[in-house]
Amino acid sequence: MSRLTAGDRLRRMLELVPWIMSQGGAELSEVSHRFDYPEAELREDLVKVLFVVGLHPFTPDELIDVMGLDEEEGGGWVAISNADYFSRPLRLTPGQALGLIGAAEALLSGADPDGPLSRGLAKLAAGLGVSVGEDLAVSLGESAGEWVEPLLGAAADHREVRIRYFSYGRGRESERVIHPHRVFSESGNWYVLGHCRQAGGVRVFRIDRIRSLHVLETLFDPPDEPGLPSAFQARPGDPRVVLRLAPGASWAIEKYPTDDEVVLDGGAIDATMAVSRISWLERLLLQLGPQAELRHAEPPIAVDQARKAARRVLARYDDEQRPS
Amino acid sequence: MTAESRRKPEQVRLERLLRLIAALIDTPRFLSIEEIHTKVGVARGADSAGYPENGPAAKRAFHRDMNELADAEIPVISGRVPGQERETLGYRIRKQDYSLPEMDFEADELAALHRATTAVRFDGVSGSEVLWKLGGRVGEATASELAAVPAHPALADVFQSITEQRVAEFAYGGQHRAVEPWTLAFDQGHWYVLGYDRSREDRRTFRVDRIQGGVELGPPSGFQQPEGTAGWVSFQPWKFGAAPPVTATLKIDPEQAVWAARRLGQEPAERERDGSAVFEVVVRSPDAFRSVVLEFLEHAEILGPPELRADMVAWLEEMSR
Repeated sequence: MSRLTAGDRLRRMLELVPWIMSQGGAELSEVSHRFDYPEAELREDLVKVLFVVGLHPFTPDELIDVMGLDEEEGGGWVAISNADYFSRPLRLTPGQALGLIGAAEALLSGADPDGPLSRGLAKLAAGLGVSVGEDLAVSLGESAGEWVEPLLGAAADHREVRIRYFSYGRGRESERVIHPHRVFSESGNWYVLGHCRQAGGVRVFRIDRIRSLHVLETLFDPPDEPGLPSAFQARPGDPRVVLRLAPGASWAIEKYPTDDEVVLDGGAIDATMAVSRISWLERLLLQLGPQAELRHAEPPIAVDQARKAARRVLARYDDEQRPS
Repeated sequence: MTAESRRKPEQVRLERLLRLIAALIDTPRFLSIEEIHTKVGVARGADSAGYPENGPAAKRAFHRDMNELADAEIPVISGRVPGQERETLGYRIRKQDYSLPEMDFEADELAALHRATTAVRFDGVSGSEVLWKLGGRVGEATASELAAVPAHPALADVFQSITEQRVAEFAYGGQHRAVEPWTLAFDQGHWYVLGYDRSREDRRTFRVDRIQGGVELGPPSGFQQPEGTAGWVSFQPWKFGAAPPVTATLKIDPEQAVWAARRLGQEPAERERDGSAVFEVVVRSPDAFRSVVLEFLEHAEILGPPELRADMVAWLEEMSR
């Protein structure tokens, strides 16, 4: 850890003092671990700083009492008293309360209702006056539930997994054996990133499109670097397109990485992005309609890809509605 | 004061900051800057904490400290110092603003919350600082982060307005809104706030990342939430809208049927011979419905009602030109 600034020390000190007081004293090593405070620095700051903090006029009875921590080097036990003004930790800011409750709530579905996470969250919500699920609802993707746990386990144990997977781009199911490297959630969906034997490379799979899953006995060698946790990670050979988005339609690309974004006069945006599956681009173009336009496309994507896709979909409506 | 061996400058600074906070908490009224200087003391030498004797230098040092306290989000409030002839600005920290309520976590609960903060990262929130406040880091972190939740400058304000029933005012879609916020939800990768829009006199859902500029918070307990309005229905935008509800009949190809059931949050009403699935979907926003149907490209077809089918055909014909 780099050298602690006065502010770093302050933030820790304001929280560890009330904790030590509430415990009636604690081992220095435990305080150091709980509050990320290197033990030697902590010892010095308790003895040389906290010990001389107090109220005006700083007579001995107005100073904080730091007991224990004899001259011996290393280890030791410490107790603190005469610091009523530091008897409670600082309240959580709204942002911190949101982050903590939100993180716990996001993981709660599927967790044991009497387990420590549920109990901890209940205390937190009661203490802060927040109704979980009513004031705040956090969902990281709901339909993925049943496969997330076994995939996390397989990733941790380096076990191969056989899945039946529905490929949305290709519109069909296939059986695959994958090495799950990493499980993550992004933009409301859960994904597993891993090597796929059938594809012969690393791929990202959406967990809610896994129809069945079996963890195998065979082990795999984990990669040194499990790769970026992005579902939309571009591969070097992916074709690029330049997509012009009308002002106000930029939200359409905000969850996808772009190589470049140029804001034009009038607020339109030219976004250069990699396209790993044409179906993904077609879907986006059809949804955006007149709000988006392809300005440039590398093969096999055509500049009029939206028109091609629209005609294909329109063919389904052919018999009845289309003027003959 | 006990003379100790020489200390590092950051330790001397730490002492002054701790003395300052102690003085600001241990007062029943606002303290003027001069009073604060007296209570924190005067520095005599590099190893001695306190403010410089020289007035302007002391003032600068005080303001530097106040910035440090603001960085640590310590709730210092300012107000008029009583009993002064001239109006004098003073400062204090109220214990009730400062203190975390009693929660008494067990070690296994802290460990579970610790794992949660390392598994799900909220942008802009330091998980470790949160844990220190609860009693420190206990147990091991998860091996890797599972998810990152995006932040937005308005998010904490919106959350506070919900938990304290404050009316939230903000600009949205170029218009000023006054909203009684009920629920904050993260769904499908976006933050939403659901509540009663006073200007529209109706319930509305807003995307937090499209709030323009800051959020102005009204006083606490500024509204009463009606019974039965709590909670969040998972994000299926075609269910929300101003249009009167119509039931659409949607046919999905066999290979996409399972995925469609998940996406639409319902089971098919019937199965055709070839395995195609037919869904009956209640639609209140035709635009959002068209958008979800287009996710299936040529594997989906709106069978009825005629106006929704015609809307889709018109959209596609426009794009086919």
